[in-house]
Amino acid sequence: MTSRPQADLPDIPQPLTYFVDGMDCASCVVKVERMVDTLPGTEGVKTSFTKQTLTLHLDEHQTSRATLEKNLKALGYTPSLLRQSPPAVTTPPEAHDHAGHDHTGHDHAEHEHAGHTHEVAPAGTPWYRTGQGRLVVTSGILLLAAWLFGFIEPRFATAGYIAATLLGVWPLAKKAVASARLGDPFSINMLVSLAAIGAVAIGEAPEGAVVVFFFAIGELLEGVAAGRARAGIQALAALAPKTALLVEGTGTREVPADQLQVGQTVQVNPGARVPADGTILRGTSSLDDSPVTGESVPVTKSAGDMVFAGSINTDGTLTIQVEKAANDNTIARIIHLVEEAESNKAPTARFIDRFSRWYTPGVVLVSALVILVPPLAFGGAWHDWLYKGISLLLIGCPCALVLSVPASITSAISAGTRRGLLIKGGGALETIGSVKTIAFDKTGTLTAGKPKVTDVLGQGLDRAEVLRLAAAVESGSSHPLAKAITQAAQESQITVPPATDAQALPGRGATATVEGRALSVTSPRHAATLAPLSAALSGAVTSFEEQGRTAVVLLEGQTPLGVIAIRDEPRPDARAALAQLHGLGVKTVMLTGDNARTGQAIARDLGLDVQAELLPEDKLRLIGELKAQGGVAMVGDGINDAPALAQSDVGIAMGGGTDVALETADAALLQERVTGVADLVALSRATMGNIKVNIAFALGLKAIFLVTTLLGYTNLWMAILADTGATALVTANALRLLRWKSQATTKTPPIAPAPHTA
Amino acid sequence: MPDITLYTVPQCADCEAIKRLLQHEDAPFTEKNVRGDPQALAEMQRRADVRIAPVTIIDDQVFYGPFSDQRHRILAALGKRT
Repeated sequence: MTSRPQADLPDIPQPLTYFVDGMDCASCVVKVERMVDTLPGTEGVKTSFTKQTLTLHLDEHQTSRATLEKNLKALGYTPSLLRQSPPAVTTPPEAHDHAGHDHTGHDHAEHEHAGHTHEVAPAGTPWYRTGQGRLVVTSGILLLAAWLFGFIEPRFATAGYIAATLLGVWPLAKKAVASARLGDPFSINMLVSLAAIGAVAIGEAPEGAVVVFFFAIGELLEGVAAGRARAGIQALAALAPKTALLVEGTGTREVPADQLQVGQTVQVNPGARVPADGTILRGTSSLDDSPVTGESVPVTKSAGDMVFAGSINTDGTLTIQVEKAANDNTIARIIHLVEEAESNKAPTARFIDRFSRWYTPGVVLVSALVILVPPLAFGGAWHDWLYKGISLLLIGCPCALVLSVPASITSAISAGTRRGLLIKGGGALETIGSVKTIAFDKTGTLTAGKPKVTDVLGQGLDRAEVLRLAAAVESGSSHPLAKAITQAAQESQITVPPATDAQALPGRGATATVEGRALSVTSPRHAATLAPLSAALSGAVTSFEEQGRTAVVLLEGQTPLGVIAIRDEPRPDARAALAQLHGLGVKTVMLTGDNARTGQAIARDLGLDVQAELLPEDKLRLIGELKAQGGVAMVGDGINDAPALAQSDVGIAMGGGTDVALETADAALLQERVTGVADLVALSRATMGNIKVNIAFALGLKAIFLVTTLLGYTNLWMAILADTGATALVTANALRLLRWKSQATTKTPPIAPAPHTA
Repeated sequence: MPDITLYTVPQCADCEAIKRLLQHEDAPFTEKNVRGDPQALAEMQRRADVRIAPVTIIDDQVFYGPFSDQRHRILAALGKRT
């Protein structure tokens, strides 16, 4: 839905209305509107979703109907002009309804996971104010009181221990019952509950109380670790300013930022932060987007560019049209996605559940055997063996184990987010590091998606003249190659003369009359059908194409005047990023719809495999094949290749500030850097390594104390203390991930083929 | 559970995004591809008076337009925070 501010409309009698065949999806509408917007002389462009029509005012002195229609056909749509009907007005979706939404805090759906969940406390809550914290404090006080009473009046002490045990076991038992209802009777919670109740039953309440207490501490520590990780993310939200300068008439008025409505206009002065997501209407400035993307180098933006709430406007004054309400802006969505991701369990977290599925019955079985076999078979004393069996149960409680995974995942997701790597869940975080192949879309991913003129060759006239005439011919076209030519003329500060009778020749080029001369800019193939190119020019064309460039020929009538080479440059860090990935042992392949010669040339420059001339369905088929060969991640822009991203094991969207990319991808790189992909792989592997260390540590200690206790070298208390030590170490190890830094600091010069000298 | 129908076309990022959103919210839906299926297209026009995918119909509420327009409305219709 275009909502361009209406400039003074030229005095045109009737708007044109086209039925656009093939424009059947929302992104097609955006594509069409963008293209039409860039044509000179178009005003008031509107699309009707109801009628699939495009309505606009067209100043035909600047762009002819034929040019507009040719441009639409070049994009793959078939326009048919409707009888001059009353203009079809877009029905805007009903006004935003912000009534009845509760925006205080996040309602996290209570996932009743069988296993281990923890509450999400609002940021800034001290640990002792959380539910888990209160539980720990209360049972701690009870324990201490009971222990002190032990010196005065042992009977009270026992009551205290029992009370502390029951208090601590209650929430665990509730979770255990819930898991059992969901068909998972052997959860970790069940094990701890059994052990504690067993301890009380045999009159060893102190041990039971202490085990439950330490288990609660373990869970509390995990909550603290998660809170530490979240605090860093939620600090981002605080960066959006509280007030905004609303533009009203000729002046501005200060209003609270959270009351801004979509469609309003705000002014942002130099040095201020942007109050809302929106589009720049007027002004140019360098913006520091680091709160959103983690990118610390300011980005220059001007009219038409998107800005994010929370970015710092460093130098110019900007007028911005608000496009998102405060609760729905990019930074709020990122925070929400990260919080969801951190409460989603990774497959490895589920590994803990799977593990407890055999671990818990195993421990219970061994305890039962210890309790039953010696008295029955060898006439041992019931009480002694009962005690030993219950001790085993108590030692078997894996306090450190339950937090070994979630704490690491939470820390890693937070560390990634602060570096512009948005990972939407533990599952994605785990998979990225283990894929065999990473497939890259070419345009807009490995390349900047902005073709640039690299060489200009004249035949009997100088370069500036070739560029001046070609730019005039192409001035009305929105084709990427045409835009590259007009932009090059602009950068060389060439005054482009007006063109008349401009016509697009789809797939071949464009023609126009400039300064009374009949000129055309065409593909070399088309030019060769009119007149043979000189040896110098045709040699240049061949070598340009072998260097991954696209060549076009400027003709007057049938006489070639010059050749222009255009190239969609690889991103400066693409080569280094691919080298890093190869260093990590990951195979890379480029998927492109381009012609094979150009595709191969670019892939050769960057050093990766290529599959060229692909149709969308070929991409899906290839992704499927790579998936069968052991996991594939797909990197794209998240818009044009959403199906391929969805098909892969992990879909990674680059420059993913858009809603669609954030929703469809499993991970999004908020900076326009290919090295982010290598960072993701490295972060994933660092996380999995961290988790493995944690699990080994927790289980290793368990095994040692289990054996030594059975043999009588250590007692129950030592085992419990060791487990507490392990819990603290595991938490500290997980928090190390918060300080994770990308290794990608190697700077390599950008790749630019040497200019061709003919 | 509300009755949800989603009208889509192939190779459409906004449609893909809405599918993901509904799956994420555990909201079962019926997907109908309207490209090259005049019957489905006619049904979409009859129910929503819209010719351009994606169109989401939740019980008796109709949403259309780009994903960014539909997202918070769909969440509100499902009774979720926006």
